[in-house]
Amino acid sequence: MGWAHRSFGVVTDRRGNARAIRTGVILALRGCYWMMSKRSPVGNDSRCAGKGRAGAGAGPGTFAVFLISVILLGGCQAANEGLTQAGPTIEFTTVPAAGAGNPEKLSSIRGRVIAAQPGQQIVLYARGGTTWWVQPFANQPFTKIQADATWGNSTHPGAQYAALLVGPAFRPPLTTEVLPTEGVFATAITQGELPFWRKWWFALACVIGGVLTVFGFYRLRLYQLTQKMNLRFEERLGERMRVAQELHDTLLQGVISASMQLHVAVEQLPADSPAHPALGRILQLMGQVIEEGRNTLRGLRSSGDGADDMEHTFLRIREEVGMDDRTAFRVVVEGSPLPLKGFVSDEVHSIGREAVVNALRHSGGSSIEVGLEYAANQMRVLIRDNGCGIDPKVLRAGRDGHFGLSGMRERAEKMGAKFRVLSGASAGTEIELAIPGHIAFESPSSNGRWAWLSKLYRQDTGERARKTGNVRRK
Amino acid sequence: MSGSEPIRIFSVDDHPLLREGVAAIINSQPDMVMVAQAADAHGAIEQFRKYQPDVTLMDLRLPDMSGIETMIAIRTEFSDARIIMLTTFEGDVEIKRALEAGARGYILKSMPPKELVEVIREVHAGKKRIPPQLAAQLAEHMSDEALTEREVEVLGQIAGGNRNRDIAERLFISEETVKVHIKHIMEKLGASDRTQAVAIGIRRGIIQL
Repeated sequence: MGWAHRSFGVVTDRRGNARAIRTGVILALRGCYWMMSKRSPVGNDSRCAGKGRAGAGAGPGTFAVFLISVILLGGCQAANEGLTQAGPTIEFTTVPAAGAGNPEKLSSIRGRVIAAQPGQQIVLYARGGTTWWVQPFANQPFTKIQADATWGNSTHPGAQYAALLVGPAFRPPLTTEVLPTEGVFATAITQGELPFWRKWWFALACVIGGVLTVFGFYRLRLYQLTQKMNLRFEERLGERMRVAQELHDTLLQGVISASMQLHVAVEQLPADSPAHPALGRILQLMGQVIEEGRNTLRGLRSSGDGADDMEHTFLRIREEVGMDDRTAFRVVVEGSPLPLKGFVSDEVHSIGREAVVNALRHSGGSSIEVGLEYAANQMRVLIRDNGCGIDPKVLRAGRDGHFGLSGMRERAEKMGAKFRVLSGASAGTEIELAIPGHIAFESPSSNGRWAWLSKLYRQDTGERARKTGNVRRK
Repeated sequence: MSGSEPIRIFSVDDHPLLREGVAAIINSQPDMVMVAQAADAHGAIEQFRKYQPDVTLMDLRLPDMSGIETMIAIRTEFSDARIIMLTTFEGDVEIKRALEAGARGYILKSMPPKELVEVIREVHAGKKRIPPQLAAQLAEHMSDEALTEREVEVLGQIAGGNRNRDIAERLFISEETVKVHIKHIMEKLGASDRTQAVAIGIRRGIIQL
């Protein structure tokens, strides 16, 4: 193809430049050797100054300068060698594909000669195994050089091709192990063209294609999963609405009605009736039930007031579960609260609420503390009590035995969070819920230019987290 | 409007249990009497014609028409009908619509019976009455941009658990249009996802349970 292969009168291939550098390095090493041998017996004698000033100093620094200059000099010398010996040169312009010897097949081979003398002509060889065969035919070994210094002929396939610039009297060997040099003015050797599937750009294209395909499949899978999740999500929402309606129509209306009638009944009791306090308490309870039911229905979720108000949501649990004053209840917030995603705040609240209710009912402790820790990479919720702890048997038998704990764990893992229960016989219980930041928090930059990328990443990790959660659960 | 005559009350609610509760409260008041009850909008309009009560307690959600539409129907015929909306939720959008449509009062079923009878008395005396907590709710969203009719429809479809594609089919619009509607709904309600949008919609009375 487009590459020109130049010879400097010696056998070269397309790696001619590398050869020049190699020569330079060899010369440089020779120079070093020379310097060392001069220097050792006489120390800093000025006799060494012959090859530049570097020899004068004895330190390693000067030695390095000397080394570099020698390398440069060597390089120059090698290049000069090429330039000064510039005799005629041969270039290939069209090179056939590399192939095993095949007497049936002929392909075109072309090139150019620079500075050829009149009467000189080209002899072509193709290499099969270790043998060079003259081309194109044993009885037509010569290729004419045209007036415009180009030459062209056909050749049988070979691993390498050689073009020799020879005089009119040259008798080329029909086959040879070593290319002749006697009577040869210039030689050029080139590798046969590689088939396209062995070209570097083809390999690169394959790699890129492969990467794109994998990425495409990945996106497709991601899209499918997202669709599936969305569908599940929408179904869930619809289901929730139906349940909410049902609750609204039956339970809530019924309780409201019962409460109304009880009110009326209580008012009709004589003022000094001993039933008054008890009925009053019942009315109060019913009021609470109605209020809770209304809140639940109204929000379709337990925490309807937005995600950043997690502290208040937790503080409200106290009233919601009817905690008395004997239990100390604290909510401690660490870090600056970040807005949580809707479903996360939902889950955090219901898991937290359940943990608080458990602590209240079963721990027998005098204090319950809820810790909300906001960090950039995660949100941590800790519910601690100073009660009796959970029976290790319950903890170990775990899942099936204790519905509440397994339910909490399941919900936590489903959203890609970590759930841990630490319990000591006298140290109370600590429940930890750790949600990775990218799952927990609303992203502020969801409209940015690279949002799709971070979204991709987040979905991916979220999905992975969910998957590992499933695996662990099995 | 004579002081000695009991206030004649008409209750419209599709939940029989609740009508029973309301009746118990009304009948326990010496100055009130329950004259009629209806379980749907058509029954309500018929009964109203028949009894022409002093005060009507109207549920917002009826099986055949909304309470507000029923009220409008009654008030086109009887412009001085005194109607109090009696409902479960305090959605600002509903309160606003109800008041614009001519409701004299708006109370929650969960409020203590004492408040209910007080509101009835005041409305009967010609006043308008909204409990303070509802007024606050109303004020809070006074400047909010209202959802268009189409957006309300879309929100209702979302609440029904429909996918964008289903919504598009049901409303005879393209899926892209649905997405645009949803985007506007989210913006106007300040919701971050579909559940939240539906929750806010219910809380504010934009859609009904």
